[in-house]
Amino acid sequence: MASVRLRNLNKIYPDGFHAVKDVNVDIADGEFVVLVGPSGCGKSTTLRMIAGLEEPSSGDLLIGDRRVNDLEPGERDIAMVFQNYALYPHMTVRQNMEFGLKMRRTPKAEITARVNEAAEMLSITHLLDRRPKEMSGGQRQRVALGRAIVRYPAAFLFDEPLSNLDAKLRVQMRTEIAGLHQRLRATMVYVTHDQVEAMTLGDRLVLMRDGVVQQIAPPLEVYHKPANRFVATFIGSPAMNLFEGAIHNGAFRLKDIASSPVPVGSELADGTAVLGVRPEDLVLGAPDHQNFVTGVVQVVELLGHEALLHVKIGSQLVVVRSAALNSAEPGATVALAVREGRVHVFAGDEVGRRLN
Amino acid sequence: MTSDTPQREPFLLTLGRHALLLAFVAISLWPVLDVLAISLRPGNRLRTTEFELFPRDATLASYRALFTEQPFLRWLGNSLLVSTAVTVTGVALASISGYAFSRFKFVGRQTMMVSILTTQMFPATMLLLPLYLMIAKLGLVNTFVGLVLFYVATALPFCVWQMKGFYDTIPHSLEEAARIDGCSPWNAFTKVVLPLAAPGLVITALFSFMSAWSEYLIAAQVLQDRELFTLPLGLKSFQSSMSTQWGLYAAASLLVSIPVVILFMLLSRYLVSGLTLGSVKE
Repeated sequence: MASVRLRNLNKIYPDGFHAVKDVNVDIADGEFVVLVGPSGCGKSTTLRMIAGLEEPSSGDLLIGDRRVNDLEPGERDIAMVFQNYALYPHMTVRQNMEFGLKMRRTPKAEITARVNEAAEMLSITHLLDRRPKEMSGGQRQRVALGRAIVRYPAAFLFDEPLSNLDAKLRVQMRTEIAGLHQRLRATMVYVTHDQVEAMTLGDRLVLMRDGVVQQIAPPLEVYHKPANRFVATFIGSPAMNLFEGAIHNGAFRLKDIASSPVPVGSELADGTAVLGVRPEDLVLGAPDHQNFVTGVVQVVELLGHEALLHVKIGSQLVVVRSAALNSAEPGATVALAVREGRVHVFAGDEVGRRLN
Repeated sequence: MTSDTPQREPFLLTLGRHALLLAFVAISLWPVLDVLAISLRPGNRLRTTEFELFPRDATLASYRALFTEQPFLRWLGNSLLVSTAVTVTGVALASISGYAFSRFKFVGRQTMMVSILTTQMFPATMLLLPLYLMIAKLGLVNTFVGLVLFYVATALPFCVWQMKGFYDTIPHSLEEAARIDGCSPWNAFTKVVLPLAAPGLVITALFSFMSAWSEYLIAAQVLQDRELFTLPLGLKSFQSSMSTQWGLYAAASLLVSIPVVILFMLLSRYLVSGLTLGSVKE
């Protein structure tokens, strides 16, 4: 096991496309870091550079204390789990798991011991003599995990490993990967576009967009203190509501719509800004409450344990998460208040850097 | 289809269908059976008044003569040698260059792909003269090396495209997984990609072998020595301007086709695609 460090890593393709821009990440030994972002954000390219499958255009890559830029993938002491499993179809499960060890000339007895141990850990012992095509998707991905585990690598790399599984299996495998990390205490780098996987698996998240790192922080910090507007709307479902307006004397006021000022802190300078409020932090106001704004309920989604109210304010639709299932009917006019201290203030410019 | 399918087709349709199929079978088999009959007739009778498959005076004399009086075994050996050499060379070159075309980006890749294809648009007879001149310049006329070179050159374009198409269906992530498992690019190719391309290799090998085995025109230009003749040339030598030894001709024709039939039967089980099924999910 080892740390993985990315120093000013860049990837520029021959056609000029700048896929990864100056990425700096320090992944500690044993840490589970999730690279997350929309498709095309450079997260997979970053992972593939760590693996040695793509060559960085500039920057340094360190695994442990070794600079690995110029090493072959096989010399980097990493293991990778692919989205499409990438099992060797002409080999049995056992042969698939043995392959990497054989290539490294591991003694036969140790290979057998390691494969048996990993197979047991993943409950795939009964599948060892099967071929990939004779197994279900979940079983295949388990074998792919096994192929990585037997190597005792310095770091595990996962490239959207659960994307090809159905929803139920995905949840199950997610728990399994989390369990694996707790058990192996290995350095893991995991790429996904799924925010639930990111939130539940990662010790820290690296949020990327257009090749640029937006924020590196533990999941809850990303959720509660998103670094900018993009992160704020990318993490959290339903997405954070954003209101355009301006700050004046430490209070935020909506643009063009009548609203009560929301205190955001006197240290913030006056000027245009965007106010972010998560659906659970927008509450249906009582008449005597200091309400923020009023709107008309358009749609009510009942999820069983909670309801999502889609409320129209001016020309904008916002989402309110309500624990009460019968709080409002479509068509009703409701007053909305903002939970105190749970507002996010972003700059009014394009990037929308966090201000509070 | 079994007899308990709920809707049986009308009897007449079945009858018509079978009659048609039988007619086609007869059309394909008739010439072969005719050749068989000729090969069994004593003397040199191409046509007889009887329509018997096995003539009453059937004899294996023609076959015996092939092996005793004629250098048939020698021609067989020559043909096997040439065809095998063409197959090995063709498959070796096509499997490597097809892989390069499938996986790597290099300057002139597209141009080369197209120009390789372009060579297939000319009839072989048109290439006969220039290729012959090249081989003559190299001093390879009347040698097996010259003939093999000729055959490989004409068969390779198809083989390269064939192999490229096959490699294209093998997911890149398999090689990437192999690289991470410690393979060099060459190891990833030989240990992972090549075994998966086995059906493609078999098709390519079969094509190379057949193209050399039954080829006459080119061989007739390159080889002059009767000792060096391949089977098609040997067969033709039974034909002279005055007369043709039909018995020998027929017997030899049948024997020539046997290795090809055996090859097909041996390799047919490899001609099943879908070997990569289940390795990855796209």
